[in-house]
Amino acid sequence: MLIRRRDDQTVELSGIDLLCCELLQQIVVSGQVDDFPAARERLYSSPSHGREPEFDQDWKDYVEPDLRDMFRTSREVVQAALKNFPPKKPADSYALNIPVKHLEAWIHALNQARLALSARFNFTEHEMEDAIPIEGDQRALALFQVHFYGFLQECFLRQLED
Amino acid sequence: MPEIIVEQETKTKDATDTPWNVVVHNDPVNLMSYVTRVFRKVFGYSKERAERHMLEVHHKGRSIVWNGQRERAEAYVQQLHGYLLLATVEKSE
Repeated sequence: MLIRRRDDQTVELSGIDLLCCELLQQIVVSGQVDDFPAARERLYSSPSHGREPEFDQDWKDYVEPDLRDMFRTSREVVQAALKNFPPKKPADSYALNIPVKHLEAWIHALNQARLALSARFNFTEHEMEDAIPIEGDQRALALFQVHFYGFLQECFLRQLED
Repeated sequence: MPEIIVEQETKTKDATDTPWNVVVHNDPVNLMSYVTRVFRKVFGYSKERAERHMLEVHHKGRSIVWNGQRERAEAYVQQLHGYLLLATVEKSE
C-alpha cells in the first residue's frame, strides 16, 4: 500500500489489497467500546486516578457525554469515507482518497481503535515492542491491526506536518 | 498589629490559589509523534518543549505538563482526554 499527497487537499492510499480493505473497514468497529469494559475504561479514564470520587462522578455525568460525541464524530468521518469501499467491481488492488481536512478525524479514529484493541486484548508494553507473532490466532491478528493502524497514524501525522 | 494583618492576607491567598498539576501518564500505545503533536496543540508548546515532556512521559512514566489554577487544569485534562491521553489533575506538592 502506498500513501502519498495527491494534491494540496487530498491524500491518496493506493495499492490497497483485500486484507488492507478489511482492516480499514474494521477501524470503526474496533473503536466501539460499549461491550468491552477494559476498552471503555481506557477511553474514558478517571481524571483523578480515583483519588476524588466526587470529581470523577461529575466528570462521568458532564464531561464524558461530550467526549463520547467527539469520539463518535471522528468514527463517523471514517465510516462515511469507507461507505462504498472497496468498490463492487473486482480489482487486484484499490485506491482511497482522503481529504486532508479529514486527516485529524482519521488519526483520532485510528487512535480509538488502537487503544480499544490494546485494552481488550491486554497487550503488554513488551508485546507492543516485540515482533508480531506468526500464530494465526485472534490475539495475533489484533496486534497486527494495532501496528497497521499505528503505521497509518504515523503517515497521516507526517502529512499534516508537511 | 500590621504584621498580623499581612499574615492573614497571605493565608487567604494560599487557600484560594493552591496550584494544581496537569499530569500525563505513560501508555505503550499512543505514538510518540502523536503525543508531541497533542502537547503542541493543547498548550501551544514549541516542538522542543513538547518533545521534552513526551520523552519524560515515556521514560519516567509521567510528566507534569502544566501547573496553575484548578479550573484551567480541569479544562486542560478534558482536552487531553479528548485526544485520548491518560491525564489527571493533581494537587501540587
